[in-house]
Amino acid sequence: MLTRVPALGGMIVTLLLISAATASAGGWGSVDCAQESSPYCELGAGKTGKAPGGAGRVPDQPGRKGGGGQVAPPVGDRIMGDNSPAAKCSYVRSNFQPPANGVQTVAFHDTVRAVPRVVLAYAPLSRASTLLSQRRGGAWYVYRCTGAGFRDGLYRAPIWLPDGEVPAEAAVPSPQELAEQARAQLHLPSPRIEANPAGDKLVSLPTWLWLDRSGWGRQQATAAVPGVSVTAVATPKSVSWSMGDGNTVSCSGPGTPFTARGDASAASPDCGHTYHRSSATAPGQQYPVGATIHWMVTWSGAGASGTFPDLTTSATAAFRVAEVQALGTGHR
Amino acid sequence: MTTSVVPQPADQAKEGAVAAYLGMWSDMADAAVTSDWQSPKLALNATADALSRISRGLYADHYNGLVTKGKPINHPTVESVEPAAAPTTVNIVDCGDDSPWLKYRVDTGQRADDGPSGRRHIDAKVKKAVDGSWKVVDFAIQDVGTC
Repeated sequence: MLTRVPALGGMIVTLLLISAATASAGGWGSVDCAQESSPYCELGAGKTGKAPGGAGRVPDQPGRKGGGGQVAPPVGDRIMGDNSPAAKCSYVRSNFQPPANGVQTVAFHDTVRAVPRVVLAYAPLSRASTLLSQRRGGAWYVYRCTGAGFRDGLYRAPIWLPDGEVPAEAAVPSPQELAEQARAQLHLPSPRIEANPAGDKLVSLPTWLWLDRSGWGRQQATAAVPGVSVTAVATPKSVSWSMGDGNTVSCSGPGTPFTARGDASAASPDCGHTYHRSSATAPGQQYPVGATIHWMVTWSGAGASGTFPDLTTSATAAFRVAEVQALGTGHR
Repeated sequence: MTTSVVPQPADQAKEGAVAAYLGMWSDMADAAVTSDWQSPKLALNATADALSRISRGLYADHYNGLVTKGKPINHPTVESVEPAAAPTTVNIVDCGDDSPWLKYRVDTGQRADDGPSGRRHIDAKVKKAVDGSWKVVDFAIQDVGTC
């Protein structure tokens, strides 16, 4: 096993060398005139005798090259055609904010790990003049692709779209709306209360409290429409135990299960309670015990993330608590 | 007989504008190492459309999990200075090379192999700001192989 590790490392190095031999994208690829034309781009193009827009970038769409502002911004476009092996792409609303005079106005927290697949295709985007209107209602849209495509492109600068001008195809649910859907699809398991002693609890003897592990673990659900996918994740954070004798115990975890070889006179290391009164005078001579799990619910996707109010799940049990001397079992 | 060199307004304008132009790409290259589209540095030498374009381009890279390493090579020349007596606009022409300035995927560390790199014809318009500094207001980068 040990000897295979360096061999694997060698394979990775070889793969890197192979990929390095292919064409590599330069730093100007995301800001050049092929990415986004402008009146200034066209002026420059006239001097060099070249049409803006990247000759040869989209061989099957020559008529669109150099269109500048004549062609309406193909928001949510399918420039390669629906029957092509290209990925499905569209502009999706984002929280992008351009810097204003170097002042940072927003924080962007991207929790999306996967590199989205984006088709590289020239399409004249909205003119720079639209930048002037960005104070009005609207949002920056980023180009996002889903599904398998025959080619990665990755270069589409965000564009500004006023609220009223978002074409139907781009009017996908917001990440927040999708997050609501994902949250609704979360299925949280029901907890089950376990305790030691298993039967009657005893006054002054530590009672161990824990939850069945099948009810404790990260849960997630995903809601998606073409182009956007949002995942909601629920993580159990703490358990509140109401012990029925007026006491409440808060535990940060599910509690340590008591094992047969354990010392019954010792307290649980992380979740337990010691009764000081018997349940003889309680209704039914039992204490009603409740355990409530608090779940932290977060969501992320489509370049955004957030937190929902906590969710809870709960379980109940009834504990009978006896005085030691009444049992006469020899404790103490 | 003695001579004294008096700086001409046009020369000072050229010097300031070229410095801003080179500074803009240097600032972008610094920010592009992490695709930091919000870097305050971006506004040091660029403003208006130039700043917006750079920030949006870096945001797209950030969003797509790309960073750019290295530095571009520039050979800017001043095409015109307007007006000559008290310049406020300097037009710059460049043949820039981004082949030593390449994009990498953050997740794999491999080069992004989906675009070209090389020599590109670049026009840039540099204007004098109210504080006397020079800032690039717009630029146009043509395809690889245009110079």
